Amino acid sequence: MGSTTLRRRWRAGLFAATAVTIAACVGADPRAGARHRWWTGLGPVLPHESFPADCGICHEGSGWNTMRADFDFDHAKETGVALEGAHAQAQCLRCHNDRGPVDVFAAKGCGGCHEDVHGGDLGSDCARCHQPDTWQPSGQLEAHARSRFPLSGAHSRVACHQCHPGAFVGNFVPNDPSCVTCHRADLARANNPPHLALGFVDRCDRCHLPTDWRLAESK
Amino acid sequence: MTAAWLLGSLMPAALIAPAPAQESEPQVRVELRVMAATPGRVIVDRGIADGLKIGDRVQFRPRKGAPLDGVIAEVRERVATAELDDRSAVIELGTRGDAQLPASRLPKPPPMPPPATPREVEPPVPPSARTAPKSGPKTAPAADAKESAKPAWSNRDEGFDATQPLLSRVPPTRPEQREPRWSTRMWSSSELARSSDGGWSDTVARAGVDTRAENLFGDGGTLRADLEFNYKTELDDGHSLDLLPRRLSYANGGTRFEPQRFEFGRFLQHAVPEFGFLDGVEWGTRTADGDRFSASLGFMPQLDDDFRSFHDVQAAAAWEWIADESERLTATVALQQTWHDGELDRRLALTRMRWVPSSGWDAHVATWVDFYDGHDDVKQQNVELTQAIAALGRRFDDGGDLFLSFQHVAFPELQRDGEFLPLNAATLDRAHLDRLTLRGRTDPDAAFAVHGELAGFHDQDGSGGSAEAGFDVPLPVFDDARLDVTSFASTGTFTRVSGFRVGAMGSTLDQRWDCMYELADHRQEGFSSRLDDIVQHRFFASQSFFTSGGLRIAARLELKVWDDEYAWSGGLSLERSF
Repeated sequence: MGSTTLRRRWRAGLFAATAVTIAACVGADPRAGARHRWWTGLGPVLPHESFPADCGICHEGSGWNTMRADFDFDHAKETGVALEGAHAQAQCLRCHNDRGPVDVFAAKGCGGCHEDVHGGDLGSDCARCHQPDTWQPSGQLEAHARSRFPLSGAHSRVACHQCHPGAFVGNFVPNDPSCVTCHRADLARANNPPHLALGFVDRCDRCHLPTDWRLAESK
Repeated sequence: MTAAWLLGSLMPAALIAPAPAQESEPQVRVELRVMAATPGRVIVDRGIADGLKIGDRVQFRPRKGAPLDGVIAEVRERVATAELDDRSAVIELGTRGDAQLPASRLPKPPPMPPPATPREVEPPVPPSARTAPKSGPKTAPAADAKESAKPAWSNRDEGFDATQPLLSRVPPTRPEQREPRWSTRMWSSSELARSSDGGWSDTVARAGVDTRAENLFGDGGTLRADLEFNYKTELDDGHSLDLLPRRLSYANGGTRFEPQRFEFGRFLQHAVPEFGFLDGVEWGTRTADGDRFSASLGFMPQLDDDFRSFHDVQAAAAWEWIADESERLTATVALQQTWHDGELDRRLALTRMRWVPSSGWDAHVATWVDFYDGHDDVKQQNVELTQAIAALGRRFDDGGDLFLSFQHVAFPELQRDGEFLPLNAATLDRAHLDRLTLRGRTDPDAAFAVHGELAGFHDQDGSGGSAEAGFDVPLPVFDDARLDVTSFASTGTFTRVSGFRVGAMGSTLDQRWDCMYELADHRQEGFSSRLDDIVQHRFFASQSFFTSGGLRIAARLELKVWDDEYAWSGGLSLERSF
């Protein structure tokens, strides 16, 4: 790719990032700050059968589709289910919607509501990497320390997508830990000595350490 | 002349003739209320059960303005749609109205129950009885006598009894009856990593939007688009800037009202996400038993950072068995056939079972079985278990949990690019991983909580394992903060690691902070010189803020020091949902 093209694309990306940032910060939010507000048109999706008889606890007297300004539904107290992290900010309809009784989905854990972008490769225990505050994962180095390939030295500094090229689409299927799995291109251009000619095509750890690819030691 | 005379004779007769018997029938007023409204149309909370029919005239009485008239255009059991005479009029939800209906359409009131004792439930109140005026038609005495000979009323309509506060259930509106609604998540993030090692650097910047529009076309469907720009350093130190269109699809159905579901465009397969993303169409249906059948056809984008499509075609079908309506026991069998550039590629059978009884147990098993037909260069066997995941967990009431899991991974021989990193033939034939893990923790909010994990693995080159144990306690200085101390050790393919980490974390409704220090010795297997030990220090800190408007701002900083080298990375992310 030419440097001019890359610069142009980089500017386009920078523009997109800036636009998203500005829009996210200052964009009009039709429901700003009112997470339990009911819109005209949503209609009564929530089942009301077990609600208290006094509608005024939740609704304005002038219209049943408007929630009281001081209304604050304590989900943990009223239902026995605490809404953790970002769930406390979620609109009611994100869970109480047309799919059916919410307890059917809640019983399945995260996967009851959130689709599995990892394609089932990482199991059903989402809390291993994700927190309820945000979907951004955390603790990857700690997780790797438990695996057969702890990230030492130089490997501890690289971005996830360098070894998991599908990271941006949720593909974290395990890799084989052989060095050439990721360093195939490095092997091809290693000329001092000429690795391919000498048959140095596997077991790179006989000479190389993960601290620095350039360091080598004969055993 | 004859025709004119005949017409002139008949007109007065028609004017003075008695109305048809139907018209003279006593009328009753059925009160109704607007549940949903669009310009010129409203949904009302009365239906066939209340005597409404298509063509009935209705009148609405808004709080402000003159009454509006309309006519029933559609009618269901307990709801009906009325078209207003004024097609531009919009009525407030909750507006009352009424319809004048022939009394004969309403069901006869139930006979009076025997005198109730204080503990007995109250008799049901049918809608017609609630809405009929006091001057409404009375049942003929003869009919009364006949009715009273029947057994006493015992049916509890809609399960209502005296302890329930509302008189009737509220029929939910359908997706297609609501106003169009948008929900959006936008994000941008950047992460920089720099190292003392020859000026090596890594940069990742992302900006994206994930938006959903519900009922945009009036049919209750959902249009979804998920696009991201990302700029990143590649492994060869080059850079790339890509537009990643993860979703652009339209889906409809699959709700409790509509058992059929379809989706087309680019999307993650709904019934079997294990089959991946698709540029195509998926159809599914739910039977009366709750079982689900689905089929999909289309191109498969490569599961890497390019996400290119149109090289791989797939056809898939699935059956999900549901034990009962609680869906706490389900099992799925699915088949997928793919073609790469027109040639047969992968034949995959997937099974999945999930059992989540209410007692806190959770069992999950999934298997991927590849079938080879002899056209593959390396895999000689006809059938291979290429992936399996089994997990058995128990969550306790106090927040503690215990999980036992098993994972098996082998690498299928595929012509398709992107899903797995390419392996040479010898490795592809032998490579596998079996891993067994037991982990658990006690109540995470307790004054002294412990957690631990024990794991063992076996692969083509040997065996190893890991152990981790720690405790966490509340931090006395900060509210809602805890201190965690964990020690760990592992034996990997190339490296033995042992060390400990000390971390603290605090969170409130509007922010969260984390900091951590880790010290670990990474001993390289087989090296005996000064290079074999890497003592690695790691410092980490992050701070996140959340606002009630759905905005999240987070910053993180990490420093790693080992031998004479160091590397640092910093990231800033912004995310907003609305």
